Amino acid sequence: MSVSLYLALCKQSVHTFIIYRTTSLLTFLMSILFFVVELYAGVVYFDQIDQLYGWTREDYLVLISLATTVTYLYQTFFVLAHEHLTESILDAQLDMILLKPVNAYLFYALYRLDISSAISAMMGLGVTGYFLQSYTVTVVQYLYIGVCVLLAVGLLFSLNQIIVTCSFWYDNLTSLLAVPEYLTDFLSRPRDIFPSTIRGLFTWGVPLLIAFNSPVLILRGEMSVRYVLSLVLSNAIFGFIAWWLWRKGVERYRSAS
Amino acid sequence: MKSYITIMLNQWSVVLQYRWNMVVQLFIQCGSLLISIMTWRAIYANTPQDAVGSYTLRSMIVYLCLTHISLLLFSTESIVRIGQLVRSGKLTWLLLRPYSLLGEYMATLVGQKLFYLVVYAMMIGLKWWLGTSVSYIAVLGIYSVAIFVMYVLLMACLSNIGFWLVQVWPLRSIMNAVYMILGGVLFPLHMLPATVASVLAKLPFALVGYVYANALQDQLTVRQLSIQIGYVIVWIVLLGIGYLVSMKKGLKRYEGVGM
Repeated sequence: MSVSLYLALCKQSVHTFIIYRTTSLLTFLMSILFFVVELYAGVVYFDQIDQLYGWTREDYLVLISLATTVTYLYQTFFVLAHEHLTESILDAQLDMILLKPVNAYLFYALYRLDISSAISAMMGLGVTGYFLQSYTVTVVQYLYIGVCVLLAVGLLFSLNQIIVTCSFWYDNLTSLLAVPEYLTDFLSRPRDIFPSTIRGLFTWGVPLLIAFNSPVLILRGEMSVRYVLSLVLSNAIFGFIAWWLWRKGVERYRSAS
Repeated sequence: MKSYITIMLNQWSVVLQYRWNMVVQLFIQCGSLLISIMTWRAIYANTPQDAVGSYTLRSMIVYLCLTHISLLLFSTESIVRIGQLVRSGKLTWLLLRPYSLLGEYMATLVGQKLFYLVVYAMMIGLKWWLGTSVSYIAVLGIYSVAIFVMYVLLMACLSNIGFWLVQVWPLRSIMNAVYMILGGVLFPLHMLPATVASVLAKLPFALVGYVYANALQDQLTVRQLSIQIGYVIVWIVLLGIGYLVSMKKGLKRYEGVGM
């Protein structure tokens, strides 16, 4: 998987985006709607209360905006690729790429960019920036938040990749593919609303909860290095599992061509 | 008519074959329900009042359960149907068959959602057994049938956007998000400003979610529920027309790709 190959795939993505610009525009508008819904729900919640376990409305809105931005970033780089890979596995059409002198795992993972999600991500960052105005954020904190956002995207990638690879073994579990999306939705909430077992599971097991909460924790000065370690370790472990499952799946693969 | 029953039974057997999908979906909805309950419990814990928006914590939990169950029956996944049929070219097969596309869609949905339809019928039966007046049960039954027909038309009409979109993957999650707010799943609609709430409460999503949950919670009179049936019928007519128009326009654009 060379840089020039990746650039070629990026170019294809841009061409697809321009050719199907109506679709892309509609997709973009609809994702904005989703974002607005989440933000507005937060506003309605905080109409009823002043603070939620010490979190203010701004804390909550920063959480929502950054969590949504993380989702958009994952979608930008990987969602179309994962959809394409799922279809290819279920239709047993992997031969073309497996036979070529390219790293098939990377090829399928980086197959297509979603430009409209990229635009949504930039918008998400803009909205986050707007909410961050009510905080004094140091450069170090910005960098810290940036690192946590990248680790969150990486974790989402690995989780989705693992589930997509399960299609090598099970072809009637299509609901499972939506699980990371639902987990993201469930876990982009302040961690204090969860009972301690769930909080523990999603902080040390699959640290999505801490991934989404980390920006606000950093702003409130409550972030601990242990959480970052958990994020880094989970990225490494789930990344390895995703790659290992891929190898096992390919060994098992029988072509339909 | 016989072909529609065959389609319905066929779909039900498909659901049984892919039962793990249904189990996972149930699981996910339970998760979503628990998250909602936890969020609202946190809100109630952080306010000095006992009732928030005229709901106590207990009635809020019942409300959330009812709206989440409605998400299982009135799910939005079929919005990608026409898009997928167009992309794969299978729409041509269906168009060539001697029955209506809408009829086939309704039969498919009844078959797929048979389990939840029975659950709802049992809920209404339970209410009658627990002593709710017969007139209320009758109106509730009519309302239930009417909103199911309205929901079929709503999904069929919205699904026709698949004639114009190449990738339909965002539609499912966007529809879910729209449903969550407009259907009163995230919070009861009367927590919104009164003017906004009164408009939203007349939309199909609210009729299926918020209003239906209120009806099942005995928060409406027979008269109020009858008025809601009126709104549903208006929507059935509007969506029926919308479906016919969008189908006609969509078919003109359709090129029978893949055949």
